[in-house]
Amino acid sequence: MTPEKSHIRLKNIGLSFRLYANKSLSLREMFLSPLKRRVDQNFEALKGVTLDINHGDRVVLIGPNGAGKSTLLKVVAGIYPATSGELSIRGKITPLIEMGAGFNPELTGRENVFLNAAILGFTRAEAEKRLPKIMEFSEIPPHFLDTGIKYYSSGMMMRLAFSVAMELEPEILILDEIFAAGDAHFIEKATRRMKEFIASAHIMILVTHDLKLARAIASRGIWIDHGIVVRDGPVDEVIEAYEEASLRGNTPAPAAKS
Amino acid sequence: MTFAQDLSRLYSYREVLRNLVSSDLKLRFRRSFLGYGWSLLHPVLMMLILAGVFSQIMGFESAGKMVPYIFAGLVPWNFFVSTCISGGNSLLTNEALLKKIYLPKMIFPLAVLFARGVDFLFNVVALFIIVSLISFQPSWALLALPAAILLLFLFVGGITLALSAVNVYMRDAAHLMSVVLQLAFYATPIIYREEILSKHSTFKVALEFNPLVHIIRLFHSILAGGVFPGAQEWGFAAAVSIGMAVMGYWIFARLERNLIFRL
Repeated sequence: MTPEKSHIRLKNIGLSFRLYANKSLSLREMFLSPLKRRVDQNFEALKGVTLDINHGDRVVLIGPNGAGKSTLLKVVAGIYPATSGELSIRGKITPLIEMGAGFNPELTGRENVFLNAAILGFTRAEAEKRLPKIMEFSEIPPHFLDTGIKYYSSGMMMRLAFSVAMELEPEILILDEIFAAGDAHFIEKATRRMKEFIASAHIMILVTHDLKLARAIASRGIWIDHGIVVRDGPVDEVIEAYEEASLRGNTPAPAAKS
Repeated sequence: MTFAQDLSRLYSYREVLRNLVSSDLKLRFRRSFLGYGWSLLHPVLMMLILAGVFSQIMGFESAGKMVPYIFAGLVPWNFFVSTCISGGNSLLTNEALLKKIYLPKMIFPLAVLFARGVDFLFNVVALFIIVSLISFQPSWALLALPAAILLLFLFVGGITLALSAVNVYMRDAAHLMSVVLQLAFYATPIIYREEILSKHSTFKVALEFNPLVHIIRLFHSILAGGVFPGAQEWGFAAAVSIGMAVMGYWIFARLERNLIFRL
């Protein structure tokens, strides 16, 4: 791992989606006069988010559905380009928005491991070297290795995806509602592995609605609502405030903060 | 993003590109007894049928001249069409993946280009097999084949890049394209010789504006004529190929940034 310190700096990041009735321009619309053209609505998913996330931070993003948490995660991961503001990142990003990215049901377990590993940034040789470990951890019977994963049980597929991901050496780890799945035995083993995995990262950012989990693995809480940061601080404090507001049934309006 | 940055990014994701190409090729023949053998056997059989039909209709002698000519045009044409169609849709079919993780979007149309490119090379081998059964005089012109293939790849790559991005913004493009391709097939001398157009002067002029014609001519001359293409033919073909590659890249680079919001 690099001795350099990782960081993420977001300065006034804004992101607005245009809500397209059908997302792409149809030919008919192209020839309509601009006046007659349907006016697209803008939806501001992020409204000027400024955050400094430093080496060693274990961040959890909380907030109601549609608050902009996942959108923020995707901006940091480079999936969405920000509409405004500045983003600077030092460190290699390992995005686990969903495990098993690129898994193709038609391919075999082995082929999917290589494809998924390549997407996550491994070279062929690195993936090859880690294959025995991946198979051992996933507890998938060896004769399934060369079987199409469409014949796997959903638990097996999950275990395989999880085991590949755990071979990464994350600097900036991005997790979106990712938990171990499978039977009780595997969940226990996977949770332990996940903790080591998170501990090895320079920075972790997690989106979750599981506040108990959030308290257990994060040190810093960031509460987001309507695309702005409502509160940022030690995880226990932020979660407490968030729970209180949720109980009262009214999350403070953005204006209430400033 | 500059071209150099794009190249270096592409290089760092080469493993993904390689995996996409190989899974594309693998999946087609999976669980068939002959497996990869089909990638050669299929074009050989198709060409045998065509050659057989032609020699029945035209007689063996004229077929011996016409069949190599048709294949010399048809093989690059088929590569062009299949890459345009599946490459043009490649970003749409990989939408789920693009929304989960950052990947340089260019790898999807390029993966199609290379996978279809491998098919194309098998087709060229099949062409040699069939043509050598009918009438084959090996000539020095064959030395020019790699250069012609390179130009074809640049041309097809450029148009596929542009199509894949435009398709996301304007879904009508895919439908329109299949019509345009059908028109282009007849506007390209593949199943007929250019000479038969001598009486149709407007059509003949129009042909010059079809960029693909200039590339197909190289293949006609190398594979069917056994003649090394002249400087003028190379010049036109290189101009349209490089032009198309630059334009395709330029269009893609411009549309790439906000593409994710349109998927």
